[in-house]
Amino acid sequence: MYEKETYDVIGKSRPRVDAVKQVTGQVQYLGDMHVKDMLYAKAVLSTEHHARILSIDTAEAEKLPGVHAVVTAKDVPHNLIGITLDDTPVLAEGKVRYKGEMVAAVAAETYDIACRAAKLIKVVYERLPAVFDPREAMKADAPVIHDEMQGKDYKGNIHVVPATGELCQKLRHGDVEEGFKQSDIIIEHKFATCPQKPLPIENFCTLAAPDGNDGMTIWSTQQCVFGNAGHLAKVIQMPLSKVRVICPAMGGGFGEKNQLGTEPVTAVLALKARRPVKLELTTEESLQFTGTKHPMYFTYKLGAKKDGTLVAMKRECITGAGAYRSVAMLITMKVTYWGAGPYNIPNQHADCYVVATNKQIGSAFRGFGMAQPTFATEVMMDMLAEKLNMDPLELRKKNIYRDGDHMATGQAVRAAGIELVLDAVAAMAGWEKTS
Amino acid sequence: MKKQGRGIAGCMYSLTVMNAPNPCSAYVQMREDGSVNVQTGACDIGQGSNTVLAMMVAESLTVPFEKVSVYSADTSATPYDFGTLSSRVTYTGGRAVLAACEQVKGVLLEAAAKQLKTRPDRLSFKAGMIVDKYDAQKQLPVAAAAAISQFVHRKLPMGMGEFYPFNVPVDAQGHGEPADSYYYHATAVDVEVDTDTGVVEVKKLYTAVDCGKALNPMIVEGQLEGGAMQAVGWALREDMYPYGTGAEAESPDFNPNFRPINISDYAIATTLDTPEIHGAIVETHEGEGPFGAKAAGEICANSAAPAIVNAIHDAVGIWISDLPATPEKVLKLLRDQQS
Repeated sequence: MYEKETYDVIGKSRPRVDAVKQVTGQVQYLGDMHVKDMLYAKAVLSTEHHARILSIDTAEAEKLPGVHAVVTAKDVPHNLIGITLDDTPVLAEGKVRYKGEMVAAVAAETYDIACRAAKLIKVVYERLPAVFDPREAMKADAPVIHDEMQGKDYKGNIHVVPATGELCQKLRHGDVEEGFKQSDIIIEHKFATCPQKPLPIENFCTLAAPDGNDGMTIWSTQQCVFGNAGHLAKVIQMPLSKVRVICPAMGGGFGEKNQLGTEPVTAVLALKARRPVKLELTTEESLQFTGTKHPMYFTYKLGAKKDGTLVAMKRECITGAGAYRSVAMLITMKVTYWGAGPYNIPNQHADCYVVATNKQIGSAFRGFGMAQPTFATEVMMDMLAEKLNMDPLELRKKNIYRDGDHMATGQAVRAAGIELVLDAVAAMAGWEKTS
Repeated sequence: MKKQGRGIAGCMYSLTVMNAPNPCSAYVQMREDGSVNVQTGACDIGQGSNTVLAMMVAESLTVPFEKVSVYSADTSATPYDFGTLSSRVTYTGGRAVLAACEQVKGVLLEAAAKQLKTRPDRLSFKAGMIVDKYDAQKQLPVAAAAAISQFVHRKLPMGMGEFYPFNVPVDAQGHGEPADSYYYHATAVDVEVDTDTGVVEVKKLYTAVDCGKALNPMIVEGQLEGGAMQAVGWALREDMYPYGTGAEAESPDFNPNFRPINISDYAIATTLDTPEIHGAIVETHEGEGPFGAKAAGEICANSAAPAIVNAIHDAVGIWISDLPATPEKVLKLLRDQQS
């Protein structure tokens, strides 16, 4: 759309609009921002992977001079929120489900007082058995992480797919068993991927300022201001029109800031203190509290003809969601639909599970849901190439999408650039046939 | 001993959010001096959307880039956007601002036609001027048209645009058209594996993205390089639970409590780990995208990890099945291979 024959601006490299301000240190990030009467916040994070909270004693912290608000789950007007399931507490209630989960928070005149007050909060835990590997978590005897949400939303630790009520998301295309019968060669392999941290250069930071008694302005490092304004309005039980969310200059997010982080607890502190409150995570807190790339565990079976034509692919994926669902169902959708890569495979079958563990929550991360299956599929392609004694590039080019092909979902392919990008890297690398 | 190998991998990625409505909207207003204010809910998180959206507006209205200001991501002062995610801002935000620009152009043409005593359909925009296609004598600077419209003809040169990306939600079998469009990426790498220490070093990395029309090639290059480095980190070293997966649950090393809590423990790939990177921008034409563009952000992090693992196999004959390919894992597989 809107194409022109020649362009004056489009297609020409130019620095970012704020490049000079950035490199001369003139951009104001949220960490630099102060408003009148602003308090500083500190959060108390869970020291247990999975535990019952027996008691939280905030008396000493509240007595410390300079402390204006101490909050626990009971202070949160609406504590359970989520993207496709409201299973995530703003502050842990009854139980903690990962080490690093937010349990309480304080707002005080200075950051130093806030840190001292946070240390005075005594949380007594009763340790519960924890499970870290989603494959273990699927077993009948695994500790159940969401014991109060069994039935419609969870079966054991397996997340029930909202749209279908089933335990896995499915892709069915052609007849995969028939495809394996027609294959000359079949390879099978298992893969696992690790939870990587997005680690943007700026940590999560929120400044929440009450507007009189009935509104709240929330500046935050937030990639998704409109969607999360709705969640925040619910947390503090205010109409959406009274909650203003602003994303100032931001030091990266890589997806981890699509979800809420420091916003809900800061808003709750501001509500209770009736003063503006800022919470900026340290890197240490950020590493424990915020999301990671989802670890995924794959079982693959791939069938092909002797000449390298792909015939059938069967995939199983087990996504480790971490303690709460967040985006895990959405990320696993991508694995389900497109995990087989940009290849014409007439017979496909995929079953993709989402499973809770006592690891920190999986978040969006650059490459959302496709980095993991791309790893597995692309290594399978090389394993097949080796078995067939074919050049890996040639094997790929024999099977890739071209305009007019159809994906396993049935969607038509247009503007397929896969051959062009493969050729581009092969040309740069001086790729020579290996067979 | 150090052994060399090379590997290749490709991938696909969807643009815009799957299955769900995920619109973007924008207000565009030209001021009396020809400068332009753009408001949109889309957040610039550092990827440069405020820059690229300003470029699109400048191109559409044929004004200098410097005269366009983008104000973004304020739920009370900017119109709705679904969020900076799913590789959707250039595509969806671009369509929204350009739709708003079309309305601004309509207002400017009306004003210019009255001023030049001609018809709007005879006029076109050309390098900052509104020109009569059939009578080159009749022309007016775009900025003058804006001022005349605002002060003489009592019509503000403003527009609002919205864009909903296409999708048809999938059924229980996974059939449908879940996303509007797709883009592609490939990586080739040269690695060196030290068979004594298990350390894998990526020596050269070749990365190419099909981003449709590259609106700002410098920003696309940044995505190519940044994505490559996040993938190198993921492939070789970055793991939040290095001893905490079930695979090791029976091993004496199992220790979920060992979790990096500082950057000194969590060894993100740095400039010291950066290979020689060669990037290529491949342009296809996406008919639905703004000026033919797709996206460039996310996919650049996706094909390097398998390319590295394939290159390790090429070098020493082992298959890394679980990431990251740490020296411990590489050494163990090399020992298993010998025995």
